[in-house]
Amino acid sequence: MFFSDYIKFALFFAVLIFAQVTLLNLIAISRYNITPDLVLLLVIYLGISRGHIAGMISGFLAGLTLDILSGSFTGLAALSYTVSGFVAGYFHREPGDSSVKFSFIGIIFLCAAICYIIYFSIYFQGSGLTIPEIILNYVLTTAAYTTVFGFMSNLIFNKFDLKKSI
Amino acid sequence: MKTIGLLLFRIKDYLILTFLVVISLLLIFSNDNVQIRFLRAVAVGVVGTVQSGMSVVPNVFEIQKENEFLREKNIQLANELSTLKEAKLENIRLSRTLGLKDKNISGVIIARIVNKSLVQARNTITLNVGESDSVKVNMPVITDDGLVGRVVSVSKNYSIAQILYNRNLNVSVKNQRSRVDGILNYDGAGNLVINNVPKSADVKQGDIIITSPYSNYFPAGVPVGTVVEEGNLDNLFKKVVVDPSVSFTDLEEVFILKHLPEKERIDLESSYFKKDK
Repeated sequence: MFFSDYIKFALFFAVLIFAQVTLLNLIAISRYNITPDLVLLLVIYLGISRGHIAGMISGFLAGLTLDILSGSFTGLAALSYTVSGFVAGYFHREPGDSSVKFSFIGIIFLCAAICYIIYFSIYFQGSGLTIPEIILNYVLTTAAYTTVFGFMSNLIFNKFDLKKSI
Repeated sequence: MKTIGLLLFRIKDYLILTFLVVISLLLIFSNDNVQIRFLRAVAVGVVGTVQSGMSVVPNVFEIQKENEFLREKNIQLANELSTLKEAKLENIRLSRTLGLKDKNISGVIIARIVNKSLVQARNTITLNVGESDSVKVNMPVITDDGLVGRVVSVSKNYSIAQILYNRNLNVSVKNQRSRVDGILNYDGAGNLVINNVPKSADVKQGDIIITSPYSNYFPAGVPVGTVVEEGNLDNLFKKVVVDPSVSFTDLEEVFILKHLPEKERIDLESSYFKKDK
């Protein structure tokens, strides 16, 4: 990655984190206030397109920034985003690599599910919620909602060929 | 070195992941909220359960170490116990001694026995007080139980006393009940006896023998012993065996009474008997 790439991704993260913190509550669904995770989408994208290290480091920094901005549970988003970015790195393919390629949507769902299993299983410790309740009400819904947004983003980026710009 | 470098390069992704996860966990556990308190409680419970399970398996080295520690502790405690027992016994003895002092016996010197003999014909005790403590020859030695003997030699800081079990010590005594008089001495064979008691004298087993007012050296009324046996000596006299009031075998502290023979009386009696001869 060139230095300009770092700047570009940092700006992307800044915009998405800002949107995540301020605007996404407007499109929250279900009585559990489930919102899509745009920041996680970018972390997964970096993991897939650039590998483990890019996924992990971007996940850690973005998660830590969200933790600091939310001010509630420092380190929790950093941990879950780091692991998610690392898992996404497993689906990274170099140009010309002919090994099996996976569906982008499936990868997003898998990585988001892993991210939110870690996040919510720690977040709801001591709350009385059971593991199935946490998975059904929070993990799967958030992962699905994020995947929908990922699918839409993929369509938009493909249609307007925006991928090349990032 | 190169191999290690290559190996580290190969697993760099995992090393970075571990590093970031550790940092994240450190940040997470630096929080102080309900979730972390719950996780800490769970962690403590899990660790406690594991440790409890592991404690079933004995650690040989730990046991050996503990065993050594306990042995040392045992010796230390045994020493302490011995010291405390000694202190307790001393406390009892001194309390009894102080009790005697409270009986208004004026002019007493407390002394500790530093040496004693009990198996010879002329037994003595050595005391840790001497001239510097105002001890003088012929002063009586007693305990709260009764008569012990008489000081016969004094140095600056020590003195020697003849005890009842000394053939050279004769004590003028009286039967407390029947007021029969006699001279008590040691027969050299382990008995304190009163010889030459008239056969008709009223002496019974169990009678208490005390010092007589006829004695030049001892104040009257000090317990000496108890009659344990009486037997005929010849046609006219009988022999009375006395068990001493004082237990000489475990005797450790005594009193020296500042009581000296009355010189005037001695002089008078001496001059009269010389004239009479």
